Amino acid sequence: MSFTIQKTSPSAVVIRVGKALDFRNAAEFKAACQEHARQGVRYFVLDFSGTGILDSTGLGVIFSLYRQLTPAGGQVVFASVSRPVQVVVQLTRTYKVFRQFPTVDAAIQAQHASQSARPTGTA
Amino acid sequence: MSTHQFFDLSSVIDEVHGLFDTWAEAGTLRPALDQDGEIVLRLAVHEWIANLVQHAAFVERAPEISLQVEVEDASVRVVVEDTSRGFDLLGQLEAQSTLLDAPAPSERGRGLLMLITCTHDLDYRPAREDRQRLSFRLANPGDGVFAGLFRSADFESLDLEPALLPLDDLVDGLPSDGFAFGDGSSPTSPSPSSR
Repeated sequence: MSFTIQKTSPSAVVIRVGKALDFRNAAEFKAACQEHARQGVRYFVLDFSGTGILDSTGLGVIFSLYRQLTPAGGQVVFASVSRPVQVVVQLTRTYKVFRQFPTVDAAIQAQHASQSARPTGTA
Repeated sequence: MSTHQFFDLSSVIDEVHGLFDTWAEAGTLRPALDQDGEIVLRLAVHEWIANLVQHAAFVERAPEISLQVEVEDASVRVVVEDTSRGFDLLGQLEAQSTLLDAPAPSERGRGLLMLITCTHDLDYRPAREDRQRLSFRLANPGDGVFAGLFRSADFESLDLEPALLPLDDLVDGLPSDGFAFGDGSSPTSPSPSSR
């Protein structure tokens, strides 16, 4: 496991993906995300600042998380995307479903703004 | 042509990425590949070796994987040989293609499709001394070369503002005429495997 998870609010987490998200740690990543989703987290910020490897299994797990969260109004967003991850996102065209932010702070602020705009807002 | 051998399945992925790190620093793959091409080549080799680590049967012989890389004018030629029994590549590809159409597709099973869509002249067959041999060429990638790996219907569920799309400089660095592989619509048919 190279990722770490920080809960920034009852409905949001920041996951620092670390060096790699691939077939070796994808199952662990998925289990951790699902546990947080079960606890009510609906906004996942994936920090790719130090990520050199995002393979098909890693991206597949993220896509599954997105599919799980979207019906409940949740979001998976990317922050500080490294060049290797950017290339994968570009070539798979998954940028169409994963909103990107230049920094983790910008991603968190976007969630706060979104909540403020909603009278009964969750993420 | 450089050849590198690996014997430990538990560390081969890290060793291969260490090799690519060295090549990136030294500019070994330039000018045939640009930075994005290097990343895609690294990913293609990663996907194949991940497939070997997870699924190949190393029964009769101790695990051994060799990686040969030859830099050509505008592409890189790669040969990966291993001592496994081999597997039905065509069957696996067919299964993976079917998987993508499932109502709730698994997160696994896209690696071979990713490999075959970004390479030219891919070939897989038994080789000398009961080895299996994968070979392919890879050039700089075209826009959306992996786009078929996730369902297009899912892409239509969000309408992001243009300002939030990936960096313009990445798009600008890609060829406007796309990426030519085979007839442009289907991957090159690999040779039958050893089974």
